[in-house]
Amino acid sequence: MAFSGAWRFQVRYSFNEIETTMRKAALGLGWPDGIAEQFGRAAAYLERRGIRSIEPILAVLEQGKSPARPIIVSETAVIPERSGFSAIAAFDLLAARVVRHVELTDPCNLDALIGLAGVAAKEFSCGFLLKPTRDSLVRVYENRVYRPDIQNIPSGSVSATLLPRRESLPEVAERHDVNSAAWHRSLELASLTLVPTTDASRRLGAGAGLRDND
Amino acid sequence: MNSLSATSPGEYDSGFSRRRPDEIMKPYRIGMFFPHRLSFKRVLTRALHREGAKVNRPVWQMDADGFGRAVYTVELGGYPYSLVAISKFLDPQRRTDRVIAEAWDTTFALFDGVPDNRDMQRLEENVPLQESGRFEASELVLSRANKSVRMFEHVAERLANGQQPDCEMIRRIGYLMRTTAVYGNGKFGLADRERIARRTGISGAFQVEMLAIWLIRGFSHDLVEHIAAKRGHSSARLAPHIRRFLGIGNSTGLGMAPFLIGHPILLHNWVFSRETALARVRSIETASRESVSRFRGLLSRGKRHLEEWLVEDEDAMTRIACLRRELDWFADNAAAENPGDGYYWNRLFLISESLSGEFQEFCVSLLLEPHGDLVDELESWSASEIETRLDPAMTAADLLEQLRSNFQWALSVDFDAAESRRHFWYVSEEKLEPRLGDRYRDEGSDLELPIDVAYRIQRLFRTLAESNPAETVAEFLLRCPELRGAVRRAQNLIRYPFCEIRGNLLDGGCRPIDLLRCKLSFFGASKFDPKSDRWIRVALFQGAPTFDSIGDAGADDWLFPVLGDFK
Repeated sequence: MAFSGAWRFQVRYSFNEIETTMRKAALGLGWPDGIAEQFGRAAAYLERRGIRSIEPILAVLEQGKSPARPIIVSETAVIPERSGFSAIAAFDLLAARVVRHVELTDPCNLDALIGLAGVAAKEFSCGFLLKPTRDSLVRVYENRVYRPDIQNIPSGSVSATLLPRRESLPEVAERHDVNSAAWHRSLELASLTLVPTTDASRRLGAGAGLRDND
Repeated sequence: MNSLSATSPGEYDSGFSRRRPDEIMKPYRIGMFFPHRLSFKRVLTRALHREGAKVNRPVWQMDADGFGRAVYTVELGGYPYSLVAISKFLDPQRRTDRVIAEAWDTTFALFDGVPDNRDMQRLEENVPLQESGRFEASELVLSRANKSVRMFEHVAERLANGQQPDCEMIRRIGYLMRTTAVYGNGKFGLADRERIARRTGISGAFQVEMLAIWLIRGFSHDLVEHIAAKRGHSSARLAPHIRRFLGIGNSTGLGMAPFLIGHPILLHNWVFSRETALARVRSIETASRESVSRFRGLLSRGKRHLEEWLVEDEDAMTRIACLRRELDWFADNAAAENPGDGYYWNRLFLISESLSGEFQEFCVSLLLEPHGDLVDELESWSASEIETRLDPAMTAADLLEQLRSNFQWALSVDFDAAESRRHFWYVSEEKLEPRLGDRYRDEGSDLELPIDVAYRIQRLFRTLAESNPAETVAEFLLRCPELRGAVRRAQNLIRYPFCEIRGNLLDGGCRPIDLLRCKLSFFGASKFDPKSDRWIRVALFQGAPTFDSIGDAGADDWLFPVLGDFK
C-alpha cells in the first residue's frame, strides 16, 4: 500500500496494521481464512512482545502448504512436514490432550512457532513449553514469552508440551522498525486479495453515485 | 472490559428473559434497530457530562472563506484530547462521499494530548491526505467531512444577514457536514486500541471515534458562524435550539457489513446488552410515577420525530408512514393501561409485539429511555478484548449436534439455487473500497471476502457428517484445515448466541443496508436515509448537547430529537 504523505519521522506500523497485512498476505497466498487469521494474530503477538514478526511469518507463509500428517505413537505426535499447518496442528493436538508431546522434526522458524504458540495459548487458555534444543527452553503464555538468547539456538527439531495457564499483565512493546523488503513483499501478497476495478464496479459496486454536491 | 457469554456471571438471571436470537438476529430485523440509551454517542455524552467536560479552542486560524486550521481540546478521564481540523477549498467536481474520494472540504485527526508545533506541522501535511498520509501512535482517529453544500450555504447566508436558517430545511437535512469515514484502531499508523483501552470515560466501543465526531459537529457550527461573520456586518449566531438540533451527517457504504461479520463477539456484546436492558425493564414490577411521566413525554416526542423523518426513498418512506400510524395506535392502547397494575412496562412491550418488527424496535428504545438507573451500567459491556476461540477437544459428534441445534438458519439455505449465491462481497483495488458483485455477471468472485458464513457452515456440516464422530476437532482439522474458520464460528455461537447475523448474505435478496443500519443504530445514528440497497446517510449527535450545554441538567435527554424541543 503506497502512501504519498510527507513525513519526516520513522515509519513504524501499528500492531493492527501488521496483523491485518500478514493475514491478507496469507490469504493472498491462498491460505484458508481461518489459518490466515492465525498467522495475522501470531504476527501481532510477536510484535507486542518485542519480537520482529514480518520475516519469520512471511517465511512460513511462503514455505508451502503441505498438510500436517502426524505419526502418533502413544502420547507423542511426530510431525515431519515443514509447514505452517504443522505448527498450528501441534498446538491443537496438545490443547485437545490428544497427545502430551509433539515433535516437529522440521519446524518452521522458531519465532513464527513462538507467535503461533502465543496465539494458541491465548485461544486455549494455557501455555506451551518449546524445546528447540536439549538445554534451551522457551515458555510461551498468553501475554508473555520467556526465552533464552535466541541467537544461540540452532535450527532443528522442536518439541512442544502443554503448560498450565499463567496470569500476567500484557507485555506490550513499543512499535519498532520492520524489514522493508519483507514488509513490501507482504503488502504485495496482500494486494492479491484485491479485485481489479472496472468502470462497472466503480459505478455499481458501492451503490452510490460519484458526486455529492447536494 | 467484559465479554458476555450466555453463561457469564453477572448476566440478568431473573424476571423476563431476553428475546430469542433467532428472532432478533435475522438480517431484515437488525435492519430495523433504532438508537437507544446504550448507543455509543449517548455513552460518550454521559461521560462528558459526568466529568463536567470543557471544550477549549486554542487555535482558530481561518480566512474569510473558512479555510485554515483549528484545534479543540477537551479533557476526559484525566487525559486531554485534541481535534485538529483542517479546512480547504474543494473543487465541486471532486466532492464525493465515497471512499474513492481524493480530497475533502475538511479533514481531522483526534490527537492524544495537546499537539505542539512539530505535531501540527506533521499533521497539517498528512491529515488532508487521509488514507495516503502517515500517522503515529499519538493520533487516535482520522476522519473527514464534506459540506452539505445547500444547507451550509443557506445557513451561512442567513446568519450573515442576521437571520436564523429556515427551520423546515433544518428539520429536513439536520446537519451542516457529513463525515465520510472515521478511522481508528491502528489504521495508517494511528494508535492501536490498547493505548486507550483502560482509560476512564473513553474505553468503551468506538468512544474515541464518537468523541472525534462530536467535536467535528461543534467545529461545523463554529465554521458556518465564522463564515457568516466575515460576510455580514450584522451577522447572527446560531440560535441555541438550532445549534443543538444540528447534528453531523454520515455517509456509509458496504464497509460496515464485513466489520460486523469479522467481529462477532463485539456484535454479540452490543445486542446482548441491549436485550438484557430490555429484559430488566420488562421485569420491573411497579412502574414509578416519574418513569411513566417520562415515557409519555417520549411518546409525544417520538411522534414528532417520526413526522420530521423524511426521506426520498419510497420504500423507506412507506415504512416511516407505517411507523407513524402504529405509534398513534400504540399510544392509544398504552393510555388504556393502568401503570399501577403490575408489570406495566412488560404489558406495553406485549402490545408492541402485535405491531411491525420495526415498531417493536422503536418501542425498545422508548422503553429503555426512562430507566437509566437500571440499564446504563450495561454500557461497560460494549467493548471486548476477547477474540473468537476454538475448542480443539470437542468431538466431531458434539460439534455436529451443535450445528443441528443452532444453525438451522444456515443449514436450511438451498445453495443449489442460483439466487442464493448471487452476491459476492469484495474489496476493490481502487482505494480498497468495499463493493458487492453479481457472481453471474461480474469478475472477481474468486477473491470474495470470507463472509459467507451460512455457506461455510453447510460445508462444515457435510464434512463432519462423514467424519469419525469420536475424533476431536483437533484431529478433524488435521484433515480439513480449510474449515478452521467455520469451526471457530460454530463453536462461538454456543457461547455468544447473538454473535451471528442469521441469514445468507450471498442471497440476491440480501439488503446490505440492513447490516449498516444495525451497526449505525449502536453508534446512535438516526434519520436513516437509504440511497440504495447498499448506501445510507444518517444523522449523528442530532439534539446532542453542544460544547456550551454539555454540563446542563438535560444533557442526556435527546432520544428521538425534535427541533422545537430545545428552545
